[in-house]
Amino acid sequence: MIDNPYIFLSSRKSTWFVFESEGMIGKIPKLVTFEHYGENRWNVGFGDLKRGIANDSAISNNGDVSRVLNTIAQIIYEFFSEHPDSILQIKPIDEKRKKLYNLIFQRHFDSIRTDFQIKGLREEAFEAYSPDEFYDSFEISLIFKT
Amino acid sequence: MKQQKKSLSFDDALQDSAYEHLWDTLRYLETAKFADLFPEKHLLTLKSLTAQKLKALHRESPFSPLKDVVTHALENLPDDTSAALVLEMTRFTIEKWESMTEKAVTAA
Repeated sequence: MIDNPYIFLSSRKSTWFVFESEGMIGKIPKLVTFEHYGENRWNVGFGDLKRGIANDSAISNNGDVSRVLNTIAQIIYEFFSEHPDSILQIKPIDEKRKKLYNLIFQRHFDSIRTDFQIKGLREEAFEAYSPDEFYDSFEISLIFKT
Repeated sequence: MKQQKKSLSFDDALQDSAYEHLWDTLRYLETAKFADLFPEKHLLTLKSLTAQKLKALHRESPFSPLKDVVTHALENLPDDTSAALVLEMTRFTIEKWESMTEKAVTAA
């Protein structure tokens, strides 16, 4: 169970989601959107929404990073419930986010791997994820349980 | 999957005055493209996927003619890819291929 995510709004095709971070600065609308890249491959983007413009390099410092990350995780589950055969690429846009995403996968490896197969990209090739390695990006797909 | 659903649909949100401040944004998002919303990430992902394709092609067929390499690399670009992005990806493909070829020659 993911702890205390924000309520999010989902699009008709479950390809974009909006929620509002509530913290020290106030309410900040956030966008999580998924792009289809052919076959069953998808890419995910995440950022702040300001006057309808998305910004994926913003650092909002609203004091609720854990709840925001939990909400994104919940949204990813929602996306996979609608697109169960998908392979989702999670690609950081800068070095700071690359470190953050690696840290998240390392810390939550045991819980993520109960539902997802995880791969990491190193030197332009994907390999089975290991928490001991540092990756440029990640791919996850649902593990189908019988 | 044991996660509880904690969402509100697009249509329900447009009926709920608590989300009135987001209505214009939600309507815009329903027609917006990922490439417009996150252009930098869109380009990074295209380059990453292309680099993987080029690496696989170089392993299989390192002496492919450059025009075949470019065709192979760009064939999966979305139909509505802009001219600027096609140019950018063509340049990226050629530079990447030449770099891989140089490395292979040096290694040999």
